[in-house]
Amino acid sequence: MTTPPDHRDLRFLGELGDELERAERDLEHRPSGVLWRVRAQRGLRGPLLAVVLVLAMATGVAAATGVISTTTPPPKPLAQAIHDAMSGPQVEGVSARIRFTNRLIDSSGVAQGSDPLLAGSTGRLWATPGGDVRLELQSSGGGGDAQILLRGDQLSIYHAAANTVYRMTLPQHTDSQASSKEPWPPSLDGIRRALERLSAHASLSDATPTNIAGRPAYSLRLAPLQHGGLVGGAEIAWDAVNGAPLRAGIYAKGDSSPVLQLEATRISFGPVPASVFDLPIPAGAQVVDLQAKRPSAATGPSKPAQPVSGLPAVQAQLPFTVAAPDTLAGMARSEVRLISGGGHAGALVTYGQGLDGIAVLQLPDTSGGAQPGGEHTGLSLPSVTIGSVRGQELTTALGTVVTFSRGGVRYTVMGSVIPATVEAAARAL
Amino acid sequence: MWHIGGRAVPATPDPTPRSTTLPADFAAFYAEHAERLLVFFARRTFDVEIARDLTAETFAEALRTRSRLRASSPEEAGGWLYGIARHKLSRFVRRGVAERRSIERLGLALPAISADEHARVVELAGLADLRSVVAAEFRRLSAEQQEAVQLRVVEELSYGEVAARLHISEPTARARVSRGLRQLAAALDGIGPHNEVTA
Repeated sequence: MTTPPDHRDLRFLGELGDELERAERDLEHRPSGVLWRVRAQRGLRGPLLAVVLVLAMATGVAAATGVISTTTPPPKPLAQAIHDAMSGPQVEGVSARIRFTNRLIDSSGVAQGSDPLLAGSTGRLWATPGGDVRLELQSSGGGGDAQILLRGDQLSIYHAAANTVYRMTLPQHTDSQASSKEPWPPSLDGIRRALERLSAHASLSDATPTNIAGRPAYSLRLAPLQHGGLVGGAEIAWDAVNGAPLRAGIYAKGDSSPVLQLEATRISFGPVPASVFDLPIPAGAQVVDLQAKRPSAATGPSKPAQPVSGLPAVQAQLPFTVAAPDTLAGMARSEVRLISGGGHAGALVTYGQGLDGIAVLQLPDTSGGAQPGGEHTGLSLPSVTIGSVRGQELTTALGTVVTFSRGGVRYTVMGSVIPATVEAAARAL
Repeated sequence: MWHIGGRAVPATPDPTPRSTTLPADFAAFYAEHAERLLVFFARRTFDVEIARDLTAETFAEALRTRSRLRASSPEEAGGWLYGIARHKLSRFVRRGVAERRSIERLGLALPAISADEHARVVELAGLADLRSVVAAEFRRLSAEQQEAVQLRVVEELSYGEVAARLHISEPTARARVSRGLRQLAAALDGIGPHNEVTA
């Protein structure tokens, strides 16, 4: 037999194969008992099946025999549910169909098009115990898929609509951080202590039994106790048996539907071929390195070995005047830090506390007057007047961002607050 | 490992049944035949979406009925699959719609086809070349057959409507369309692409 050819260019055939594989599993797992036999009696099938289903549901037989794959795990205290999941069998890998929900951007104000990152989509996810993760968000409108790949400390995001790959290196854990970790899996007491510390900042729900992607699961809702800004809370759900994350979402205040959510709709556990993590990037794609360039010590303003904070110290490192009034939009200044972005040194000035504070990012304007956003992001942002200049405003369910340039400096004002607050802050700079 | 549509499939198992039941590894069987079957349908329907539907329906039926197969060689297994395929194609030609009975029974979700994938299927099936071949072959049909095929296939009329337009009985309309399509199909089979299997 000859080796079949490589057909990566017909992905839909692979997806159809996934569907058939799932159907094959379903066929194999169909019971040979009463429900299955009823199917063969065509004349009686409808009424009998209805009766049997009602009886089965009433007595819990269906769940007990696994006929209906909507079983939920038994109720447990939160710490116990987490501990049991962490102590479960380690999976060799995860392959999943996923649904990505993105209601972050108000579609009335922004042209989202069919960009799967902006509009949400379905797709696939693969992960290994070693930490390699690939997320494929499939475009339904022909705008091209989005691929997010994490291999080791390398993060790549391929945005097909712009035919661009964004790459960056994530910070590594230091030895001191690693050595401070508790043994794995953590003890039940250790989990309880961690939950107590967390509960000082957020209210925690019980571990709610549920079923996601056909897997018994627990879900946990968290809501910030204070300084949460427009963020109403978050949810995470995990496989009750092996602890694999099955759903994660963020909610806005007063909204019962998630603003952002990634959920498995079908999942299987087993080894994932290494080739899955070879990102399919077409020739000619533009590669953008998002890693901040670190100026050498011998030349110019270098990235400091120690964090530089405080207005005088930061100002001394920058060629432009840092705008940092004592108060902004009614909030007191909390910190001024030297930061690096796009290979240039800048300042990050924060006001207030937590998510409902305001952050002001100031960097040299190297755009030549071009506005950020634009075509390559798929966003058409509304403009806003900031004093004598025009800026752009992105309003989302979780916060607001205003950008504008003035005097050779690009300002980005953001916070998990309503637009009027961010606009007032921008105008007061 | 090798891939079909980005999905890893073990390359080692022989996709053909070794025993009298098929297929021990349906995934490998699918991987072996999926693209060729898609091309088979694309060349006969000139429609990538319908080719996808028919491919899915054929494999769904094969999966559902695999216990009925008695095959002992790769050729027999392939022949069985293409027998189902030809049956599905025949029903599509008669009814004008791709059957989805087995797809629905198994609850399969049909994947979307991107523009790039659509273009790739057109390329694999050689549809651009086929169009000129079909056009030439179509001109060789009798005037009656041309008219019947035109009304049924291009204008997508029912056989009853074709019969009414041509002032003939419905069985006669069916016969004219059927003979015309068979003649076109024979011409297509004679110029099979490099990777098409006719079983």
